[in-house]
Amino acid sequence: MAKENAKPILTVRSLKKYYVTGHKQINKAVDGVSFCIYPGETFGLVGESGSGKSTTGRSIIRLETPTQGDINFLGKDLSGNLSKQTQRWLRSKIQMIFQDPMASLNPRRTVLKSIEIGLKIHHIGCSDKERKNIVFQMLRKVGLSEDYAYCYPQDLSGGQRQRVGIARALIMEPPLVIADEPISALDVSIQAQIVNLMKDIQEETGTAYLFIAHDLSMVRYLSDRIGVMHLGHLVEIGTSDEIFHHAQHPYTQSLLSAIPTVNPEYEKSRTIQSYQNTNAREEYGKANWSKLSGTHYVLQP
Amino acid sequence: MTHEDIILSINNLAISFKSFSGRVRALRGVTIDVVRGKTIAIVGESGSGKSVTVKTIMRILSKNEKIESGSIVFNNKRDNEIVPIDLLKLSNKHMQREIKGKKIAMIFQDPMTSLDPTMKIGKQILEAIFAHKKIKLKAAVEQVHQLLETVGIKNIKAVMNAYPYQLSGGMRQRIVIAIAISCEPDLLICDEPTTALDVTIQSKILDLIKKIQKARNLSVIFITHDLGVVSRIADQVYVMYAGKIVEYGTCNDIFYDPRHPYTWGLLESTPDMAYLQERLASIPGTPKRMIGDVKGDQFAERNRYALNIDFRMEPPFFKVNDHHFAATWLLHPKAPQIRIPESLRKRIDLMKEENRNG
Repeated sequence: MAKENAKPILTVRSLKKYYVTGHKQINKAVDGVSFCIYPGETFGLVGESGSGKSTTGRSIIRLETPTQGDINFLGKDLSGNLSKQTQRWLRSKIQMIFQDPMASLNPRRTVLKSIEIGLKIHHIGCSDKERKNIVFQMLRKVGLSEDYAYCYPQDLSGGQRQRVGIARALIMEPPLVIADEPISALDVSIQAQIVNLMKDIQEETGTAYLFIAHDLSMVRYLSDRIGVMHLGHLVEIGTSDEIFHHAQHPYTQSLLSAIPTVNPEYEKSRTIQSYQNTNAREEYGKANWSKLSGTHYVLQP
Repeated sequence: MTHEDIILSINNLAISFKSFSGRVRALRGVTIDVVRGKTIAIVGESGSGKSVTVKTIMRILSKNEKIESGSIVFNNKRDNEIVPIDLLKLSNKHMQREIKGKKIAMIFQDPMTSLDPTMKIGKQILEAIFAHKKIKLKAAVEQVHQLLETVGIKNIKAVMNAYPYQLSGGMRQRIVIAIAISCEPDLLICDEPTTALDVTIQSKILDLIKKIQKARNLSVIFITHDLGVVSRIADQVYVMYAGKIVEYGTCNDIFYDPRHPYTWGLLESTPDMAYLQERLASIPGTPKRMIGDVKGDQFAERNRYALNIDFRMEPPFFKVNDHHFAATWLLHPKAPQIRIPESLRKRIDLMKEENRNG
């Protein structure tokens, strides 16, 4: 859990990622995003598709090169071009879990090989046998028996594949895991299993998560703090409670009002707020942060 | 319910697939009635047979699929006279000419795959209209305008000249809906139409389907695994597991008085904004593949409340009230008194209280 006086492990300051899409056309996918993550906490990043939440995550782990901005991770500066050495260090300290476990696992590798490869690259464990033991331990931790080590991804169900994805990310014992919509491709009952698993592992190992999702109701179960993104800007940051009970920004409010409930009588009569602001992009650029409480910030024009 | 009220009735439908590892029994006796002008929702995890059921209605079968038994009777309304047709006995040609699109239309999950990427939107909608109606181009274009207006598209001219990739996911799904309703079908089948969309867009699409249904007296079959969506749109709910319906009733029956342990599990694992638990309850394990002969209740292995008999005999339907049935031995008079899980009980009480207070 986040401590007030703890030092953040990751600080992102005015991160920008622009894509050139055509002649003199620029897509500002991420346009000045700043936040920080404390050790052992879960930071949820939510927003509609196209809001830039995935790009933010991918820029931190350097799957994309940021156009501008400062990223500081464990005291090291990660902005600008990275040396091979720093890149290698970064890749062992931050890991990623992807949305579609079928697409992110190599179909021609067994589960054992997929999980083991990180250890091999970073020379952890001196013999095959030792590495195998580490993998078996990891498999048990994510709730799979050792028999699964020799399966191929095609033999597994969606939930099991995602467990393998989690095992692969955690085998390096990273201080930070970026989870990019890890549950949205799964069934509701399996989603709950995976969310619980991620929670358990966090309690045990103390890794921090950057949890990227569009489903606010699941984010709430996992996150200590939540950042809401819209059109490449963060519009509100706060603890789970602050966002869910005292949301200030109209966009956050519209997102909250769209969450379906399992109460049919209420659900059928409910109206959904929609946030339509045609020049939101420009307004966000000029807007300033205002502090509502110790942890709750909102972008106000 | 009188006979005339029902537009489609699926009776005891059983379907199997041939595979290398044996016969996979995808559906094992499914019975569903769709009332005219109402929405029924079929819920269940992936692999429970929801999609196979509706694909069989449309007769979109794969080559290794075999219909073992059952019938699908569509009560066709023609000149105020109701003619029952068994869809499984129709010839392909007849099916294509008379039923598909004209009487029963379908919307799929991913709008990008159901639209042709190389064809402009206007042309695609026109194509659907011309396939079933003999009208002049000018009249057809006029109709496309009306359709796009119905599905809530504002800049009609621009959209008609656009290609699918130029539109957002929500817009594409609106186009697919426009094509589906272009020939005024009586029954609309929606196979997870909002799963690929954002929550904000999802609610808009659901409202659109509801609005169109009201205006045209459509009957809708809605497939989803999201109970939140069900509670917004459905009148009747069928819960499906391993190729069988395990519980069915009105929306209120299922959400306020669930009886089957599987329904409990589904409801518990759906997060709720009003009632926050420390930990989400989940259904352990994953659905089994049904290869060869199956014995006993398929859910027994994942069921916390399974009785001995569950492993030997499949439970029949027990009546809860006139419109609510559940297939679980827990409802047998001799079964031990097992109540709904405490946390779910609390949550339902909380919801009811909320409704009373408005």
